[in-house]
Amino acid sequence: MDSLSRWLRLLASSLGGELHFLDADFPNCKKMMGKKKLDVILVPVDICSSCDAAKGCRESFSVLVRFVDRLCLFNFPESISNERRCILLDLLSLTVRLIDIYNRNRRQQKHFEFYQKVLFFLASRFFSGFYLKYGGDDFSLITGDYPLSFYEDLEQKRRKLETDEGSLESEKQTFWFKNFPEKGNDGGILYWQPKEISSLQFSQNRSVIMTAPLIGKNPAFLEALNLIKKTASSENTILLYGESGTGKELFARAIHLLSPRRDQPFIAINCAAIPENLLESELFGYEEGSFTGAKKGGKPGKFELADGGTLFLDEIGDMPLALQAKLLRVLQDKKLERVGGTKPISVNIRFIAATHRNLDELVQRNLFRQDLYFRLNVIPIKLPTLRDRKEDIEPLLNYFIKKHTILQNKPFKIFAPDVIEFFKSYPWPGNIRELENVVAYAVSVCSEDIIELKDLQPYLKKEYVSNTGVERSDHDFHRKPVPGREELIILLKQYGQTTAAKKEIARHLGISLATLYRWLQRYHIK
Amino acid sequence: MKIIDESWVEALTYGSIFLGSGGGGKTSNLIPQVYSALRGNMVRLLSVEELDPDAYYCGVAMIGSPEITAENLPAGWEGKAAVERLAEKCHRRFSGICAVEGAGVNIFYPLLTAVRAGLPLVDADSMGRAFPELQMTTYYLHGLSASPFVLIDGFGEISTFDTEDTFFLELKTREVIGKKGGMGFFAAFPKSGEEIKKYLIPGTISWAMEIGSIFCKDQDYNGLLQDVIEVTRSSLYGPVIELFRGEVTDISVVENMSVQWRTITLSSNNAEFQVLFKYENLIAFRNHKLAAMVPDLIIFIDLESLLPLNNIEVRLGQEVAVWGLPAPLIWRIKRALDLVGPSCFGYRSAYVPLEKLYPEYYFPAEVI
Repeated sequence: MDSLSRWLRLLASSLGGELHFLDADFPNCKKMMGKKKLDVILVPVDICSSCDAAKGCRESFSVLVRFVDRLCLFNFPESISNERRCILLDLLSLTVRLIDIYNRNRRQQKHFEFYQKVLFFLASRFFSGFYLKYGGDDFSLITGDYPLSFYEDLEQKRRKLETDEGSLESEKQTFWFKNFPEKGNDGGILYWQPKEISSLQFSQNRSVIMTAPLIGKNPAFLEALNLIKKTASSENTILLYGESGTGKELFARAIHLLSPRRDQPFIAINCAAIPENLLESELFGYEEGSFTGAKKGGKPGKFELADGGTLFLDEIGDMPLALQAKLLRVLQDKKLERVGGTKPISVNIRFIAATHRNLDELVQRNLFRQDLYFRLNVIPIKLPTLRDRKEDIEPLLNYFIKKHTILQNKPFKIFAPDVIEFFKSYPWPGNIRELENVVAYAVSVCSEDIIELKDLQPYLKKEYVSNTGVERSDHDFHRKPVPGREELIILLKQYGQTTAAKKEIARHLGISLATLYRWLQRYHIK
Repeated sequence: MKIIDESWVEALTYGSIFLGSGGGGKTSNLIPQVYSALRGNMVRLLSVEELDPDAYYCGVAMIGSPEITAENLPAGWEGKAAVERLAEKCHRRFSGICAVEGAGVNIFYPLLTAVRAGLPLVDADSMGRAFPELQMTTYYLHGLSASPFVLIDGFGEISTFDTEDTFFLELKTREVIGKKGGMGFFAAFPKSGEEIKKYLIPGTISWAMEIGSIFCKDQDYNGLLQDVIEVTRSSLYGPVIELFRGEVTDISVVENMSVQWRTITLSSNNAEFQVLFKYENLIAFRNHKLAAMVPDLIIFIDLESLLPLNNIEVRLGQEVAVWGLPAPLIWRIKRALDLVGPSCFGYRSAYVPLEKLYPEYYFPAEVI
């Protein structure tokens, strides 16, 4: 590396700057920033055939464009002599000449013309930037005049450069250095070549971005988001903890989409929403004739449907103990038996479980199997509640307003500033789901552009702020009281007993369907 | 409270061009001045939560031709003089300066004025992007007057207006700067902290910085797009969408019903994409079908430098991407569309938001 650093130091000092050694992140703008003097000039030339010719050339040039752009705007030298100016322009010219050689060799004249245009643009920008900052100094464009044989010699020797002592390789790019043949050890060219960036990584993340509205800047939320990005590609079981409505299923979908299984099925099942006697056949499937009403030919369960993909077990804490043992076997052996079946079926499933309950406590109360708990709790991820994410309320409101106005074909509305303040102090027992319900209500009901607190009064007052008025915003109001048995029965009579009716009741109560089923179970309401 | 120093300038530059939606003046004109002003100085950036509800703050901006600005670089002293005159006129002391237009040069000019006046800058603005006219502000939307309005024209002369109607004020200021120097600087919108908190778009300066810092990173195009999507999706705007990528094949001027539009046409794989603009990019078409429209932001990204571009910087043969960014909700309500919707720029058609044009991108779960 001696010759490389020597050359850079020489170049830097000739341009009135200081040498700051390039690291693998070059060109790192932040490092260049804050230094008032020109540090180094990098000549990015890609004459290596290891990557696609045109693309490599374009990427190299792109670095130059950015570099000069920043040089002109942010890193302009305090003073610069004519001689030093010439060196800079020489280098720009040299770059174009090298690209010229490169392109002529590959019959890509079109690209060369384009780069030439960009160079003239940059040169004019360079002058105008200088002029603006220091006033009317007299500039003239002086180009380097190296013999053509020099460039051709470079092309012939390029392979040798790769093994030269002046090479530096990093994750993203490779540098080579070569002395100028005419100038002994005093000068040379730094070659820069970007490496191909895997498009896979992008497509992975892109799919999550496109499909999961995971919105927020709250540190706990971002931590959970980073954790799923880190762990999604592994096969480990993930256990999501979070209150009802915090977005557990969205996270599970995001994990699936980030994983190598993204093209395989994602099957979600809510253990609390399916009656206990049906859950087993739903999960494991059944053979023909295994019970009264069983379909002819049997039916595959969710485990089989999720084969090769991901199975999301929501409200795992509500799974009956008997089934927990069967689930444990699937987790351990990757095998299952259908209800009424005799031969084991092998499955390849990535499990994601979620619960709003404290599984540790359930284990101590013997309501949850300890061995299953340990099997599931490999990567625990806690999702914050909405009341702990006050800063995310506005972006979430924006998202839901846009969603509901567009899906319902209504005009756009905004919440008045005092409504947003109220929302920030409101405890949101139903979390994001509840917030979305409020927005859906407001978009449907309000006819004005701006939604005022009074517009939400019938909705909020009735449901959450009884006796104390809408303005109440005390923080100790964390959980909505569970409705009594009688109240639930009245609601069932009012709305009906179908699943759709129960969904409506859950929406009305600001809870999930699973929570409603849990409450019905608790009060033994059939 | 955040502190703006020299290290902010590069990121803020790219962020300001991004929010300029193709217009907003030529930011690079002001960069040397801002650097010089911030050398050894710093400016406090106050979030709207930090504002004293009873204290007063005023808006500062520069108006006029970017070409003339390049020849007569402002130093911020004009703004300071305007703020002082406004303070005299209102019989108040100002506790900080607000950006009126949080994009393009008008992020930097209030910053420059804040340095000169030794005042903090408020992290909010009244547009959330670039718009060409004075009445296209959230102040006007909420019925707040711009007056008293102090204008320093290109000749350095001070004019004061007490016009109640902001549209009329717009005409008056244009008239003055048209006659006197082609550029001007104003201090106006003297408002209390409480009003600013209620009616301005919060956090736009630091958000411009956040967006701009992505462009400072060395990365490939896909990485850049992905990072910008991530940052925009949790903002008041919403996730950016890539509308097109291609080579610039035509730049021309068309006139329709006495309205003059400039157009930039891109081509790629037999597809054609056209952006219509006056100052800011206003409407985009893909193969003659609507692809985006104002007040949503339409932004050019240079595929060589991976930096946002003003529309006047776009050149034939250049390879660019066009991105769309949903406008903040405040600009989408009915009475705001009467101010900044497509019909306000001569395109007689109802506004169609990006989310409606690309529902499968914005609401995939609901569509699938």
